[in-house]
Amino acid sequence: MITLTINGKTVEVEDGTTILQAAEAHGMKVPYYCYHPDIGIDGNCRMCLVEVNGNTDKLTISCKQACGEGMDVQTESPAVKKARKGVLEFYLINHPLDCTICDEAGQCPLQDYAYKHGPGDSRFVEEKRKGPKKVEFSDKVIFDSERCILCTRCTRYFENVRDSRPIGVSDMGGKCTITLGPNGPIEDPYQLNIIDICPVGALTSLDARFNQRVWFMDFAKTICPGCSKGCNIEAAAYQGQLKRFEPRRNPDVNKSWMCDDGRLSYDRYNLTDRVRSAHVAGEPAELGVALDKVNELVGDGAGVAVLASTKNTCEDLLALRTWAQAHGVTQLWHGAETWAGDDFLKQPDATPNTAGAQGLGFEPVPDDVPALRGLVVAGDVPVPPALLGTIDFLVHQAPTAGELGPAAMVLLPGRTPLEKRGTFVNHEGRRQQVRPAVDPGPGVPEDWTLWRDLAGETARADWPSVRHVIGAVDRALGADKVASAS
Amino acid sequence: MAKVVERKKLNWFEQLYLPAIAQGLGMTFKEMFKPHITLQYPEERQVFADDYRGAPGLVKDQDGREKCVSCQLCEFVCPPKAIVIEPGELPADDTAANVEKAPKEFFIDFLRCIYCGLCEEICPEEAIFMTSRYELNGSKREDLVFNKQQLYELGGTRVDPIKKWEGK
Repeated sequence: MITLTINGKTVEVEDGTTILQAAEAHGMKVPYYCYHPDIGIDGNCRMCLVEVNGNTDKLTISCKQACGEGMDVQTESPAVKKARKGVLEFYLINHPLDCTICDEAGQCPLQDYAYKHGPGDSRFVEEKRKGPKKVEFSDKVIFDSERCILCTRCTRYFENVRDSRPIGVSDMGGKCTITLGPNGPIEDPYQLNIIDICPVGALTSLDARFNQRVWFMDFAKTICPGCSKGCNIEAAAYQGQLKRFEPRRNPDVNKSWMCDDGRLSYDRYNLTDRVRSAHVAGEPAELGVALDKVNELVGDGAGVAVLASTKNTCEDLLALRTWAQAHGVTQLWHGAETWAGDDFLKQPDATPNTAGAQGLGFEPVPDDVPALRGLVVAGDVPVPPALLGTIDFLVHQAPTAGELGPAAMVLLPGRTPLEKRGTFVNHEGRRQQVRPAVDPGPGVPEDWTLWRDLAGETARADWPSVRHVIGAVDRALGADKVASAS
Repeated sequence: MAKVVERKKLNWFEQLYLPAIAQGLGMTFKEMFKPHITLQYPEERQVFADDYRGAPGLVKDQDGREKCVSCQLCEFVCPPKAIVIEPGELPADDTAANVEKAPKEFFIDFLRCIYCGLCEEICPEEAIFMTSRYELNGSKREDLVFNKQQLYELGGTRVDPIKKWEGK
């Protein structure tokens, strides 16, 4: 352990910690562009200059300087402030200042730092540097060299995290720029992460291009429902429509990254043809009537099976299990959806909560399916044809009617994972909170309330709100599982 | 209790009334030779100062370029939320394609607008101005939600001496 003082505050840090990390860990913000906790240190941007041991002649870059015993660090001294102003003035000399048309505006560290630490005006009267604009690095990423401040986070992301070099720095001096390599457009399935780490609007997403300003969007901290990795994301919505997914840093799960497939999957949850009321035999019905019909059909539960989608939260599944057990349904199965996983983030299991379903006693559909009298399908899930062969009735609960809808005796409304509050358990058994990003609108209650109301008076009294069910899920899954920090 | 106001008792001269009539007519004759200030609306219209805050409109520059780049700051600042913008990308063959961005649609709801002028004040492109138009009417609510085309008709053209996007 090393003891040093930062801004007069004595702090203790591990050996090898940099000054910047030490300051951040103790609540003192040092501005930086090129450093990124998940890419590594480079030390080219000169934004993070601090004063060490009163040396104002030569300031130190805090991102690269390891803490030393007894160091006296000043992050807000007059010399540091003057240096920051100078560095920012150099950045803004050639930056086109076209924030009005830049998609990064609103989440741009250059904007933020220029406002907070910058000189406030410009002494530069010469012509600004010109460079290639609207360069398509791939069918997903567009590059504007005039906005680039050459922090090289993007090239270092590919080198250090993805172990490839599709782009690099070329040319010298004022013409220095990021260039696409000789192998053509970037094909990496994780390439959109560079638009998040780009501290200016040089790299922007073609998908989100000129779509909506960030300050009009509502961001919800939730979990990507695309696979069982459970990447932490922020889901942005504008007027009830999902507009984008962005990764949220969680060093234990996805660091700062997410896959492009997951990122671009937001539109899948903007439904146009959703089920807005309960249906009995194809006709719209009161929810209460439909629920009574379900209990009437299920009867004593003999020969009835439940097939639950693993896109349901643990709360939905616990309420479903409670109802099923109360009505003698013992065959609790969960669906399976797969896609091609890889060795970085994508898991082969394309649903977010298989581990949660298994923890709550749901099992995979057995190979030899017993003859069934009825089937209750909870959620949007592919149903093996063998299950549908012999049944007399089908109860289907899902956001959209889908293929099963017309065949269902009772059709109940449902929510997408982006409209739910609850818990997902990822492939490592880590419990993570899901929060709603959009509101489904009228006629779509939370999924777990349907099963709770079906289960009867006791469940209704036990679980007045989702918080109670989240507590019940915690108890049902036991205390030995890893709980995520966020 | 009611307060009794004592009336002034008129003397015999005042009781004649004729002097009062003459006095009144005298006033009328005097006004006839003063300058007229009543306008024959709608044939005659008032002339406003340049900074009069009438209905906001969008302007084009002398080359016919839409000055708005849909940065949406006016939408953000608008206190009654009268402005709604749908941003869009300029096609590559546009004469001002280097500006990249322009509004696909631009709506101002004049039933909501409070003519505060904050949109004009915040606009970094000098693309929206308060015009001198003050009469807005329609037979339906929708008539007073102006779209982009109507707003450009309202705003007209303004000479832009700087042309910040030229050569950018």
